[in-house]
Amino acid sequence: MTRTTRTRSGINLKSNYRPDEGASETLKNDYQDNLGDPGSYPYTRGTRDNPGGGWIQRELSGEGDARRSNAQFKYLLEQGQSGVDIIGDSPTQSLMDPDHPLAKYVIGTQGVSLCCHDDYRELFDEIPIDEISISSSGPPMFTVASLYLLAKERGISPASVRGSVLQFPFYAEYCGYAYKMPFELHLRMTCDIIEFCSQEMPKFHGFLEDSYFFSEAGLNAVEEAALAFVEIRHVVRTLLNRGLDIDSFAPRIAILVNCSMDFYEEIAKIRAMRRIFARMIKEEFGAKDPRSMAVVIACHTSGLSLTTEQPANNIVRGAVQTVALGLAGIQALEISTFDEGFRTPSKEAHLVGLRTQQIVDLEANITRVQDPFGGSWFMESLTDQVEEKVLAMITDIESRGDPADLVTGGYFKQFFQGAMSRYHQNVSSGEVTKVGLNVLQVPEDEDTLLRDVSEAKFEPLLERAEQLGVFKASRDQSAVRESLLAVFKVTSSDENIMEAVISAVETGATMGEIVGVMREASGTPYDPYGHLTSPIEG
Amino acid sequence: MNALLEKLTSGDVRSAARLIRMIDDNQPAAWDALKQLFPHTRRARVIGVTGPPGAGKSTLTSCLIESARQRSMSVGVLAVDPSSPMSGGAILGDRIRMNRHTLDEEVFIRSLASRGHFGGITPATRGAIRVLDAMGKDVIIVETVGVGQDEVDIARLADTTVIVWVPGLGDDIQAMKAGILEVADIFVVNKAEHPDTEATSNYLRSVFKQEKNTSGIPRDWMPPVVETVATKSKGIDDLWDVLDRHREYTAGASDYFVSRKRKACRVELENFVHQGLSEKFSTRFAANGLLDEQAALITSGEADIYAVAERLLAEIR
Amino acid sequence: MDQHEVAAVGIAKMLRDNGMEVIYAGCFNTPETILQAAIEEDVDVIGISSHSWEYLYYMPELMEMLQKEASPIPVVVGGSVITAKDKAALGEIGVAAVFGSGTSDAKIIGSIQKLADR
Repeated sequence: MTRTTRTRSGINLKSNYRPDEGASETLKNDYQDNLGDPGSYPYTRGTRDNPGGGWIQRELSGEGDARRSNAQFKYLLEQGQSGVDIIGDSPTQSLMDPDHPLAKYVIGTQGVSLCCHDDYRELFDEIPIDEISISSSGPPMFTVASLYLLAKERGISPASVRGSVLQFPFYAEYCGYAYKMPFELHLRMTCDIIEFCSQEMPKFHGFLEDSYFFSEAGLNAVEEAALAFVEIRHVVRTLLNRGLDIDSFAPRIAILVNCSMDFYEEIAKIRAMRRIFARMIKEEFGAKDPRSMAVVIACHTSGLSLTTEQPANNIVRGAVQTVALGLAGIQALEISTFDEGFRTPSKEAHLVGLRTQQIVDLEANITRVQDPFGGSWFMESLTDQVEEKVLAMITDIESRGDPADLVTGGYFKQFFQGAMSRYHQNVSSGEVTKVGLNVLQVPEDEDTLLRDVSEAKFEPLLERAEQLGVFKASRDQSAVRESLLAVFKVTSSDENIMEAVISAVETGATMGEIVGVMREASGTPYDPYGHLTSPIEG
Repeated sequence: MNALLEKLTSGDVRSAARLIRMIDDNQPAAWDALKQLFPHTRRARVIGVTGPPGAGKSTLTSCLIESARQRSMSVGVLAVDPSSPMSGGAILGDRIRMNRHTLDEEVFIRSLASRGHFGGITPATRGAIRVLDAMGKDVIIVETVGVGQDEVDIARLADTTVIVWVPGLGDDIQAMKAGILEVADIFVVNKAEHPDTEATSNYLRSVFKQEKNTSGIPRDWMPPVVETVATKSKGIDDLWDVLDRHREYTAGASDYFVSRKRKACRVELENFVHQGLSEKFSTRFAANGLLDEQAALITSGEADIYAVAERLLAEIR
Repeated sequence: MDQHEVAAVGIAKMLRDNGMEVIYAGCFNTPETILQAAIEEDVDVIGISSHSWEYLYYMPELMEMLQKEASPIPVVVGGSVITAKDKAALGEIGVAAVFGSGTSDAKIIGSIQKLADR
């Protein structure tokens, strides 16, 4: 069992670091140039100056139907989480309604089944959307549309809603949940949502760049950061081309990063990303507002880092990752629970995840001192090296052509598949140590701790399909039809789609219907799987 | 075997699949089967689709399948992908783009690995085309990845060769080998919403001049350029019109076209003969260690390599 | 509906590197499409990768269809979510081999090779 001498991205780790090496430039120069205090440009040491402020603690929820998931929210809020985050089931994440033939056996089993406004109403029933952070890892367009409507329904100003939605126009098709829509449509949708939020919900992060999900394909820290920035840069450029001012939307760009077990590099990655973002937004994109330059970074710990063997070990992994992230100054955190190798989190696992965060925060008091690694000969050296590699990779990728061409031409697909094989190779060969999996295994019949919880299953909600049928029949059909026609029309124009989408959602149009019509307006089939027919004629 | 062939000619999928497998594995019974099938072939229209990776060939093929089905034609598809030169294995993933046709009974999709044949097309591909033909397919689409030599190969077995290109490949167009220009019947510029589309199409149109093929016959079909966006099924009808036009042309049996077909046939015949000779040689000399024996004698100075070679060749007659 | 391709792609590449021809059928398959593809490609073995619990519902359907074939094709299933109980259940419906998390490459190759040779 040899210990590796390199970080996952290949940076050599010396046995100890001395004052005169590595980041000596960073440390010799004026402190403000490369470091600065937490909350000061270039934000290497922290996005905000907020000692002891901790981070938004939450656990990713979503299971079964909206009612069940609402109960999950309430339980975790009672137990002290300070924000919520939700993820849809496979059909929802793929913008598919639960009555689609392919959705049958997976309704509600890997997340919550959401397809219309009523679902969101039920999901957030008695949840104070104006008091806590509402994040969604579900379909961004519908989350924003429904939150907007909910706020109005409750007499709250949408401008006071805080939270975030994920955006991933580049990479979704290859390693996450494929939207099966043309790239330009996905990009346009992303930009319309960001623009809408910047105007109507200015406290809401309309653009949470999700580097978590694509890095779960086995990417290392450098690759993760580089691809995140390539996507951010393209979206920013697209928005600027629309004539928007950088400071009108950049303050609400945030990044959801991954966290593996490569302790030091994960901390360096976050510090480097803050610095890279700040400089990029200021120097390259001309931002003036400091809030545009200080990027909020959230994290979901790596599911790939977990094992199904000896599930209790995953609790330890979550704790180690939390410590790393606390030291790095993370601003929101979700731990992948110990049973996530088998299922969406059980109630027990949810609680352990939350308690892990609370113990690290309250008992170890990690965030009382901000950026404690600051000034460390080692950490500054590592941060500099990660930054250098990330910048080089961004330049390399962007030199290969227009990112849109890279997306449609298969470059990123190759990239991810290469990373997937590499990871598989590394684990098989033992180059990456996974306790319980390739070393220190325990015979199957002795590996019983927490198995009962982890391996428990539940049935897919087959009845949702029928219920949806009933709901659809109860709607004002002509109003729904009119609203879908309006969505079709707007999609074919240059206008922002959000207003038409919100109206459609209000009439009871479902996610699948709205997206299907948008696909049609872009010249692709209503249902990319070829099972459904469009509710509107041309 | 006869039962198999009977089922095959009435369109049975399992028999066709099994026979293609036998051909692919070079089983002796396959040769006889193909001999018996030959009279039932040459009815289908064979369209070759090739081009560089990332051009969208599979998506385009899927659109062509759709078009053919709309015209009530049955379709056979052969998707050829390269084998790993190191391990001999292969990942054949073209089916994915044509998934929506999987359950259509009139559509038969088969993947083949190039198995070391440089250029993608293998003797098995030809055999497989004949199987699909005998099965009763109206249209057979053969899809391969190609840059350069491969396009020439595919032209040998297709009635119509379609080369799929994408704008923005810039330098690669300038470096196009002469072989492609000779064999292209139709150029498709896919992903035609790209800003460089017009430039690419214009360039392709400009490179075709009246030229003669190696038998000295002047070219009488100028490859049209069709712009498509396969993911949106745009331009597919135009492509089909051009395909129909080309079919009329080939039915006209012009000297140029006939000359090409004959050349293709000759190459295939030559290949069979070479293969046969090579196998004979293997069994007679290589397998029983005779060559090793001679090589040992030569290296120790007891025999002369030229004399040995002459003698072995003489023995074949 | 499962879109977690990481393992499937890795296994496909691993099999390829060991000299096998792999028809990669991707995501969004149903028992019908898998069966049809298997027949058209005349495969020796069918491999299913699953990260969600769908296989519990789809596998009985697939196995039933296969058993109606003149020469049923052996099926192997892999995935990290597969529990010991699931393994037993799959075995009962006729699945030839089940590879849980941590199965070595050598074991997978060996099993598939043996099944193909039959």
